[in-house]
Amino acid sequence: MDKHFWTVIRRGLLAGVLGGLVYGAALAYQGRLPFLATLLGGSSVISGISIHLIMSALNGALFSLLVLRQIGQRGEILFWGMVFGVAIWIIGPLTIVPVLTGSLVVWDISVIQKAFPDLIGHIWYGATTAIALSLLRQPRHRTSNDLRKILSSSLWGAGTGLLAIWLMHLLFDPHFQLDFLAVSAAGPDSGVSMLGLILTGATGGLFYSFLYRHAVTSSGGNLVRGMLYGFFMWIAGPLTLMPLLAGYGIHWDVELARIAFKGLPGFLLFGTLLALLYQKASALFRLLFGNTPHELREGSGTVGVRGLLRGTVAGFTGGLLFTFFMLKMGALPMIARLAGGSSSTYGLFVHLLIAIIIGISYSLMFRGQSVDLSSAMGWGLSYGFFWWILGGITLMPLLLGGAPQWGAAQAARAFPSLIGHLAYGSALGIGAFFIERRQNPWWLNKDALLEARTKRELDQLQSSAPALWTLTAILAVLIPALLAV
Amino acid sequence: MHGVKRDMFIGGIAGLFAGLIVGILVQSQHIPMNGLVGLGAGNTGFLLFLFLSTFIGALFSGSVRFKPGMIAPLFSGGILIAFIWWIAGTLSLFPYLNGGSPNWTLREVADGFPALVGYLMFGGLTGLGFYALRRFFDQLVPSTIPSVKFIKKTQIVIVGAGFGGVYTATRLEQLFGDAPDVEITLIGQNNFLLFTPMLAEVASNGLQAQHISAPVRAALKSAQFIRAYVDKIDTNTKKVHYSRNPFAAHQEIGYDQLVLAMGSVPNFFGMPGLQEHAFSLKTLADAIHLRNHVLAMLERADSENDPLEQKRLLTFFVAGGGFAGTEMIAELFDLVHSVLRYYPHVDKKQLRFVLAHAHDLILPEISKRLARYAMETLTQRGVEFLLGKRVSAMAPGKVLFGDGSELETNTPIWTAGNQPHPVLKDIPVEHERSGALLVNENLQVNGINAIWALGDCARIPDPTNPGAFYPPTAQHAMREGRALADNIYASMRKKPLKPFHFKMIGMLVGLGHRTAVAEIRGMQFSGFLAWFMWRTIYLSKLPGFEKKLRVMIDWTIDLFFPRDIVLTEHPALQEQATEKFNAEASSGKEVLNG
Repeated sequence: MDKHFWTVIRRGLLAGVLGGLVYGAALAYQGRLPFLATLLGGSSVISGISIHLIMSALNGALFSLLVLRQIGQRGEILFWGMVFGVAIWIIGPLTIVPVLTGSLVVWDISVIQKAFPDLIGHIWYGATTAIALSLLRQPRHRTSNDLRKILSSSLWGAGTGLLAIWLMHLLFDPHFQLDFLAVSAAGPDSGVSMLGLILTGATGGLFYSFLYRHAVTSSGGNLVRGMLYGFFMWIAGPLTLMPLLAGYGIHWDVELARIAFKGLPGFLLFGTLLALLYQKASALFRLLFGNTPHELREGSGTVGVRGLLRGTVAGFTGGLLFTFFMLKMGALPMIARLAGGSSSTYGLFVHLLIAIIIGISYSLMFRGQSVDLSSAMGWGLSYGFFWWILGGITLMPLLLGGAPQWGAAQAARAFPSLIGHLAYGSALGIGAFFIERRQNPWWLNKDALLEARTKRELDQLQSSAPALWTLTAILAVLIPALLAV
Repeated sequence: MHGVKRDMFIGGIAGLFAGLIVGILVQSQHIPMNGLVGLGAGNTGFLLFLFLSTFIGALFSGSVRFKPGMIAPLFSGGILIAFIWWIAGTLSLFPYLNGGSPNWTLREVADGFPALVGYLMFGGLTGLGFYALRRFFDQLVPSTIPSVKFIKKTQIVIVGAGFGGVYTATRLEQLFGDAPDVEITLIGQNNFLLFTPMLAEVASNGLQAQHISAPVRAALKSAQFIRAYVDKIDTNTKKVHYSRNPFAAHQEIGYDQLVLAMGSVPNFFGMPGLQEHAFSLKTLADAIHLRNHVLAMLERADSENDPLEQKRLLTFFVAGGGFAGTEMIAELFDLVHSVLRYYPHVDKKQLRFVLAHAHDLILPEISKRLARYAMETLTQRGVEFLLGKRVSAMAPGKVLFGDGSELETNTPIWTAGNQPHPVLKDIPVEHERSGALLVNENLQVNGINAIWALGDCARIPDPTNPGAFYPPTAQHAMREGRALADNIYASMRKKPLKPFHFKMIGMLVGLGHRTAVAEIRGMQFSGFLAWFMWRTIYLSKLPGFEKKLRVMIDWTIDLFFPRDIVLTEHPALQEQATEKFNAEASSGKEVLNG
């Protein structure tokens, strides 16, 4: 074993312990440490915390090995950490712990709901371990120039966060959707609510800039990152910090999560808006004040026309697949109402038109992102999920004259549409991938093309992209776990 | 076994192992198996699950890229594909196969949650298993796939970047895809594909030069492009010799398959003075040069006091009444009349537009009725036709005819003859009288292996008209390019070749002033409708959306504004300045001497 290997293990152990301390504090608060001790025959808090920290350190080392080749900014590792947290939750509390305690492994919904506090705890553990690991991995020497950059990006992030929350306020507050986004159980007092909004925007933006000093270049990549960052904020805000600040403590139980569900779509949309604004504002700043020449490969007109054509074909294909199930569910007349009609035929037309528009936006935003079938499905699925939030439970009710359907009961009714959107998104991603791969960059010859493609594949594998897709899938899975009563 | 198949095999094993682990766990913990697979229960369900696990494992490993050290992406990818399978298979397909509806409601999904957790675990294990097994297999049996750099490549060289050459190259790219054993190289004198049907409009300033030319590099995906002049083709050593510019050192490229699409050059038939004085209309440079020359003539005529000289400056002559000649004279007429108001000293009565044609009717390619219509329309506008006349020589400011007559003009344009590229003459094969290569119905050059030819430089037999050849038009060249590429692909893959056959769609001739004649599938059109067809059909054929857009804008501007007369610098003006300077200098000398 070389020196580098032990450095990786050492960092992982340390990061794991740090992550374990955060989760351990919550376990101590919940009084569940003695239970951990019973797994190895003990019963005291000390043996409980010892077992917890040892397990955390070992898991941290494993995580450090798993993400050995994952590079990039802190945010990239954060998403890997969250996925890792969910994975050890499935392997640990859901599978190994029942085996160790001599009970049956049961994966049904009631057990999942019962283990919900563990899930949130493991996500916290994964996230904090990942951030600790990324800090341990980064170079320690900083110049004054670095500090200036950190300060300016923090201000930039906070400003973008405030802009994003202001836009959310303009769009959704008339429908009283942001109450839970902003305030804890303290009540929907407007003063508190406004302060909550400002705090949410500023801290959300600030922490995002801490995770991403430089915005990721792809709009689609930013969209998915932002959406999942919103998920992280939802766990950090309404599930953890807000109840804690309001004096309710940390319980993470499924009832609380069900009440807090109303804030989840808002946080997901806020995260998306924040990430996109962060990227676009940075790009605008570079364009106006930057002096770094960048290689413009294709004009926006060419890209636009090509995206239009590809997106039309891919969106239509995905839409057709979705149609099959919409017919089965009899949802077409409702779609027709969006454009003032009522018949199924009209609904089909409107549905396919929407599918094409989403297909075009996908083709433009995720251009060049799918390097293989797996990534095509991943990006498509993530985009499908995003459109369930934006289209299915937000825009569609608004266009039908109502308010966004963000409540748990309303989302439960719209649940079949979530599965449809995921299926549509996956088909869209696959379709767009097969069309796009026909168009290779013309400026590269065959050998260079192969090299460029290999590099693109490697870049994506080294980023958080696979973690993002998995996390979207997990988020989609979490929804039925939360909503089913 | 190598590549994707090898990965799928390894992935199948990983899926089977992961399926066994999850399946045994599920069975031992009494989790219902039918929930996991959607169909069957008990041992049937278990076996079905193992089969599905192997299938999903193979599918997963075939759709992801393995990279050493990248454990997390494979773990994550495994979970993702298992999740998608859960939606597509367990929630949708299997219920449908069972005769029901998709299980998409919250209650149904909640009931199927154990299956989901099982699948997520299975996916993660498959990803990790695939990684471990792949590393193990790599050490045990190294992949037999050779590095791309060491593969023996078949070189397909296409000479000529006109319609024939570019369409051959793009079709070959489609057919061979990313095949690492084939290298396609296109050599052209210009780095753009010139849309020749609109060339006359560039010469008449109706369109911008760049707008009718599409960059060849943009049309190619993986083929290599070399901008160069081909000097020699050596069929013994199978090499094409070329130089990047007239002063650069000669280079060479070997070929296994050679496609000759070199087009044609003007043929002056050795007549005196034509090479030196005639304008031709084959290239974009020709069109730009001609446009500048015509404007320079107007500039000079506007300041010319000698009526005879002004008449010569304002006489525009075209030799040849084919497509190019007829469109050229019509466009010149439009250009000059569109800008005439800027030249107040030009006497309109002095303007002459003359077209000479060797036969008694222009446009021999289309029906006589339409040809007569074209001639009458142009005559009514003021174009003069010299029918049955052949040019015999040209001198400065003068065109001489075979019957001894002369025409005073500074603008003689030659469109009456083309010949294949001279380089082709040295290829030791059968040539037609004009120098074109004789090819068989499969577009293979007669008497030599692995050489193919198409377009203006080849004579391709028309099976529907024995003894005749297909005409050298752009619509033929495009189809010939595709057919030729198909035959190269077939010959390399040991498949039968297909003879080329194409029935011409139609002919369109623009007559300027929103008039044209068109013959499409035997139907004849003339006037405004034909002009509209001319524009829409050619616009649709113009390569690239951006170019279409630009040409549309040019045409729209042309509808509402006069043509541009900006002339930055031109030899004809310099010539005038030199003449004036010399005249003044000599008169000064005379004064001094006097």
